Amino acid sequence: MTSVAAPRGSRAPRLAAFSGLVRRGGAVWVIVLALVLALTFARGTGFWNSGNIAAVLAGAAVLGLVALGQHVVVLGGGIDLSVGSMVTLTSLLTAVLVDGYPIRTVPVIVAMVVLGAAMGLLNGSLVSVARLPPFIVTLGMLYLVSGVALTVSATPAGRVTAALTDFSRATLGPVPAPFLVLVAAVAAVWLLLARTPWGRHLYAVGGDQHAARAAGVRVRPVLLGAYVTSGVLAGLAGVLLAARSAIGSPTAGSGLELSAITAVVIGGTSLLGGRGSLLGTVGGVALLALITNAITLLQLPSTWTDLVRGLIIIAAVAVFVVRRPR
Amino acid sequence: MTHPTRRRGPRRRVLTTTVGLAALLVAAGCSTEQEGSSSSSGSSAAEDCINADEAQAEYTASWTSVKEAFGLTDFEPVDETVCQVDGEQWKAEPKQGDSYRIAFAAQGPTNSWGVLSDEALKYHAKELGVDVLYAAANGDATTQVDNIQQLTSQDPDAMVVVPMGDGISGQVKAAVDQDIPVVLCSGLLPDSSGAVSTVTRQYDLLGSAYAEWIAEKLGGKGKVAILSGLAGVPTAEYQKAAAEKTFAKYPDIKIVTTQYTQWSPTVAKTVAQNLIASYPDLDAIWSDSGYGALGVVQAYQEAGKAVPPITGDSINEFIQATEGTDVQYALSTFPPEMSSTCLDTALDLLKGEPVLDKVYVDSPSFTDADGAQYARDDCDGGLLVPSSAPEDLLVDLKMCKAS
Repeated sequence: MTSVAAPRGSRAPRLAAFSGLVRRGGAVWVIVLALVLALTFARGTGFWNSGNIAAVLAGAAVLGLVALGQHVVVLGGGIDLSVGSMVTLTSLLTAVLVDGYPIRTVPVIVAMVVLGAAMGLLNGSLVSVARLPPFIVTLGMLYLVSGVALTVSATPAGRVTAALTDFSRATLGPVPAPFLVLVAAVAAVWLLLARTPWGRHLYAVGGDQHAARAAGVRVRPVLLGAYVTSGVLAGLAGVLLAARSAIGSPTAGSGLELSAITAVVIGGTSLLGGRGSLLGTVGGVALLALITNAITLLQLPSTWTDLVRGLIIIAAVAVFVVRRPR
Repeated sequence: MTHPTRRRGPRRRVLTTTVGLAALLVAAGCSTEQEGSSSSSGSSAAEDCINADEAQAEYTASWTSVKEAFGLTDFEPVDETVCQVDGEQWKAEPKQGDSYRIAFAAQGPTNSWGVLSDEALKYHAKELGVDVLYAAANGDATTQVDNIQQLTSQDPDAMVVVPMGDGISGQVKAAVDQDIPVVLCSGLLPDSSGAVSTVTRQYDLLGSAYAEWIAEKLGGKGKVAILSGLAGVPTAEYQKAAAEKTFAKYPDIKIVTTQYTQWSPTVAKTVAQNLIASYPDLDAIWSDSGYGALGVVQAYQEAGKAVPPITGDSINEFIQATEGTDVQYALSTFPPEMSSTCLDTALDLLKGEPVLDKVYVDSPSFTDADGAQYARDDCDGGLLVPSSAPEDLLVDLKMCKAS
């Protein structure tokens, strides 16, 4: 065997290092860090004041939960376009069902998480049992659940209790309580992915479903678990959104599905499944939250928000996503 | 080797906080009574209401002007309590420097209305020497929740919010709780938001005035289609609800269909093409927007059919499209430039001057009898006419040509 030393000045080692950084989800954090430095330089105390940090973290909580669910589904080789409408429905129902009655708060929170799980189970069943394409199934679910939300109420309705709104505004130092929910969810998802057989099987199913099946992995429960996880997190996000808004709105979560996919993609997770890092997705959420913050802090034209997002997605696909033969 | 005892402190704090928050929620769950059901949930503004008669008269005037413009015989204001807020409690010197810094949580430039709303406020702020801290929601309530929290963190002297939906109420309340007077602009929120004043054109007024005009035009009998804007969006739903309530007074008026146009002439045209096929004997169309009405006119004209009597807001292109035809219409405006009044209201509060808790903006309303005079060939089709926005601003925004 002949070993060939890399020529001096070769880009191969650097590319390999960059590839490793991308795979571990670190690349997006480099951009996050650069943006934080830029904002520190440009706005200093305006950026670092506790209120602004709390605003960034609170803004990341709902998107973060939804993006976590999306991350799990995408790892399994699927996609969940219905998460935004699930958030809308659970957020609306939280306010409508609680309607200012403290005694209903806890049961409704539990019910919304169960409802999220049920919607995820339906998605998962259609994908894994009926073998329908995830894109079509969840697209249909998006419209179905949005329609149900509008049927529940076409106008803003219900209201949450003071306990829920107080929770949404509570802080531990500069850290908002909803962000702590996200931290807990990240830890739980990390444990599921890294420390359970289901997590390892999810990577295998996402990487190559047929090979995973041939290796003895039971694909169906793995996929069901992914969509249920996404649904549970969407239900939780709906409760947090209702707590933050104080009332229910039939359009509250619209557009969240695209933001969640954006966070997953710019975090370096492959949309083909089987490869991605939770650290990267969390970085994607942080980056999106910071972009929104930067646009306002720097008083840039609001039209730049979508422009910047679009450029980052394309850059992520072109640079971060390390291609591999299928 | 790590010392477990050293790590116990932060862990214990997090655990205590988590358990505490959970206990708070569970403890809150012990009460079986609905919060706010035993006492008034009115805002502090309502409690400090003064000079109610004069305020009420201004409210009634906005209804009277529409009644006269549309020639309505039976059109009375819906019950609404308008009063004055004592601005003394909000009186304050600029927090930073010599000039006031006003946060503006805007809709964003998602259409010509949004562009003019944003720019009219900025233009007026420049005239007054006021700094504006701007954040656009781009039409999304969830984004606006983040925007308001972020703007609040910058500790502005006051805040003007163009509400994108009732879902932002909690965040508006949080801003008011931090002693930032909030003025709602071109939209409504529930009293629980705690906003000090609301400057808007009234949804109930427009929705019911259009419906009443149709009812009287049809002599209280006929088939009507309702074309609303966006499902679930308060601006659309409240107007539609007001229209439905008015039509309900006329048992011989039948609402044959309710459709959404997304405030787009293209979508409205498709909807209208279906209406022509499905309801060829339609007697009138209630539309909440000029964009919707424009699509309807285009569809009927292309099909060679007579356009039924129609309503909407007065966009330039609609008036131009119907000029010289016998299309019967009733139009009013939801003027984007009212944002400058919103700024004035916020500044009045900071100067300690009294303001109304609800400033219902009056704006021109007219029918096909005198609509042609409002068409402006030198301006963009999307402009709401007549516009009270400064001419140089309209030219700068390329909405009108320089004369």
